[in-house]
Amino acid sequence: MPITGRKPGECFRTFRDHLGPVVAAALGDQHQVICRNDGNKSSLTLGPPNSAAGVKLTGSRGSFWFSLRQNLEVLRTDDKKRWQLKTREYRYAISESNDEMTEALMRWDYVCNVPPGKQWCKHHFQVGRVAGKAVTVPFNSEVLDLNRLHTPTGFVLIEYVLRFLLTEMGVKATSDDWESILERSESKFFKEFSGRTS
Amino acid sequence: MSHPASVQFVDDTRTSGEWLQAAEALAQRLVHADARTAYARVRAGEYEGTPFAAELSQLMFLAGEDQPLPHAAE
Repeated sequence: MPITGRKPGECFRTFRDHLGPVVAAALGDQHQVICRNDGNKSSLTLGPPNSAAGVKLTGSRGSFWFSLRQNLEVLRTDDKKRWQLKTREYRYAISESNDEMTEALMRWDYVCNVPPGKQWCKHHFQVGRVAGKAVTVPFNSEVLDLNRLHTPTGFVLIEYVLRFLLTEMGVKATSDDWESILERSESKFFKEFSGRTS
Repeated sequence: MSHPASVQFVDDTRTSGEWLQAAEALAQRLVHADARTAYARVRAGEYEGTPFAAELSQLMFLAGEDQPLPHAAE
């Protein structure tokens, strides 16, 4: 079942209570999550205020920027008795730079409403252009531009991306127990919040 | 090693009109356009993958300027 509550704020608090400990276990409790709110909407962004590129992390290949964004909305349940949390968009991105106009190198996106004229999968992974140039691989006798591919994914949990940062990008976890904390959090998500991955 | 309890959550609550003003300021500062024009470009794929596009989309969501959620959406 999705996150529900008697009031909109209860839904948002449940989500925060779920998110806070896993981010702290992976990346440390020195980070802030900025919660921009307007009634039935809340947008969460990891990082100091006014840092559009997110937080600076250090991995095995040097420093980089990690951005985590969630656009959340609460709607009335079908019986009109409770409120239900919906994810309108998420975006997890890894960048070499914190420049506001520089494309992220890797990103996982979900948009509830695909823009008109677009037909790609709502949940997808994309490789960015580097210094304005496409990252390409040879494919038959052609060139495949990885930036043009919206590689489909399931619903990507924050826990999955945190795991990626630790195991693939070489970020040192704050907690020795990070793996069990992430596993418990993933399990809780599927048992208590959603039985679906997409 | 200690187990950090949680990150800090910092609330910033504004009206939809105030979020639109923030979007206007962002769009003017970075692309010299009004927020709705810049957002239309973002939706068309311009500035793809940039923090600017993500930030503007977030502000327009809060301002109620994005598309409404379909009734039967996931």
